[in-house]
Amino acid sequence: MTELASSKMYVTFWGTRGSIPTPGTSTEKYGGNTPCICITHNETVIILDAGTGIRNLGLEMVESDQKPKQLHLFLSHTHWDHIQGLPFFLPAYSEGTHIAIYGSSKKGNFLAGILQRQMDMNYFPVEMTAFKADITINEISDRAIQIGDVKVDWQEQIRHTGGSVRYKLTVGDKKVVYATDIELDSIFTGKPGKNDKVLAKEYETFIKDADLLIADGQYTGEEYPSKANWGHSSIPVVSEIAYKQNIKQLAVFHHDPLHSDNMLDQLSAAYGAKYHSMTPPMEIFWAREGLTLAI
Amino acid sequence: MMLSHESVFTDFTTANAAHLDIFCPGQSSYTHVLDGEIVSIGRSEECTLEIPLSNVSYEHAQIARKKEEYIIEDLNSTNGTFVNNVRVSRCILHNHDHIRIGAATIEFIQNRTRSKA
Repeated sequence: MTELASSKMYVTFWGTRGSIPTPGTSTEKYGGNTPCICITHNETVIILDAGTGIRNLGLEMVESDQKPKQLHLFLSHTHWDHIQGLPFFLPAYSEGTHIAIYGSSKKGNFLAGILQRQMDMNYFPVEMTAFKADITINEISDRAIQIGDVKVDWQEQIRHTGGSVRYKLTVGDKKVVYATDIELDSIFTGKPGKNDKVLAKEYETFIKDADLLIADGQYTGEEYPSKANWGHSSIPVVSEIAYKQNIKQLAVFHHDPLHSDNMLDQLSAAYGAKYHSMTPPMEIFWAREGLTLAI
Repeated sequence: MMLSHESVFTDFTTANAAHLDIFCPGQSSYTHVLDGEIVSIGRSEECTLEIPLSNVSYEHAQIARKKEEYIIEDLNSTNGTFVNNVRVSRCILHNHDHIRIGAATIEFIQNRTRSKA
């Protein structure tokens, strides 16, 4: 076995909640921070989204004996819940750290401008110029980006207000896909339009055979009809698609702010039993803060 | 009448009691109280919790306390450490999490209370 094939990606969830932070006793198990995931492979550090969870990631980084100096932050999009932790990310204020930020160029506004305006003094007391780290903001254009041994593929998602981006991280034969903030029900259910078939095929091809799919599953099947066109997926739809595409582990993500720990436990029990009993089985679980997987 | 600020705000302490209930085939179930020391788990006699099962690695996993949290970490075991049926590398534990190591199961119980000293 080569060194590359034997080394693992470590995937840590720092924020799993959708839409708005939800602190409190009813959400302490799965967490109340908005999206942030850190994936490391040897010396490579890749962060997916800068929701409020990135604050705790930053605290751990600055307390670490081996502070990472080269960070790569990929944004799925710039809605608040995916960027509002960035002003509280301590490594951004640390001289000698380099942070490369990547995001879609299809915003009509430059990504740098959007991030700078979040730190306009009308919204936040410190402007982005206070960042002491060397920060580059990159609007992605190439189909794939190579960072160390990690290849990052991406694709635009249009079924979310304002659009979003999904990412696939590949090392050797291991694949981790991050595909949040997309309304799969509008593509895969009902009478499909011609464009829906294209979008469905693109999604299926992108996620196929992933070792870990981190996917938007904000609503239950019962909740979805009243949330149609809100830009998020239902759990039964995303889990069925994942199973058909031979996903080994499905991490349901972007939990609804109204969903308590008890409710997510009940969903874990029901869906876990269903997919564990199938042939072949698929592992499905609800992402929670403080969980690290080795892929 | 206004209550004194001292009586309302002072002398509080947070107790963070936690223990493990261990169920291992071939052994009677038992409890291990977590006192802040690192708890090692494995087949080795040197481990805090010795689990003498063939599908358990010599040094399989450990549980450590960091601030108010207990964290389980897999030590590159052969057959993995599972929390609520998910194979984990590391995981912050919450009350009633079920840890599976080989054929042994361990329930994490935490009782965090804030009370007057």
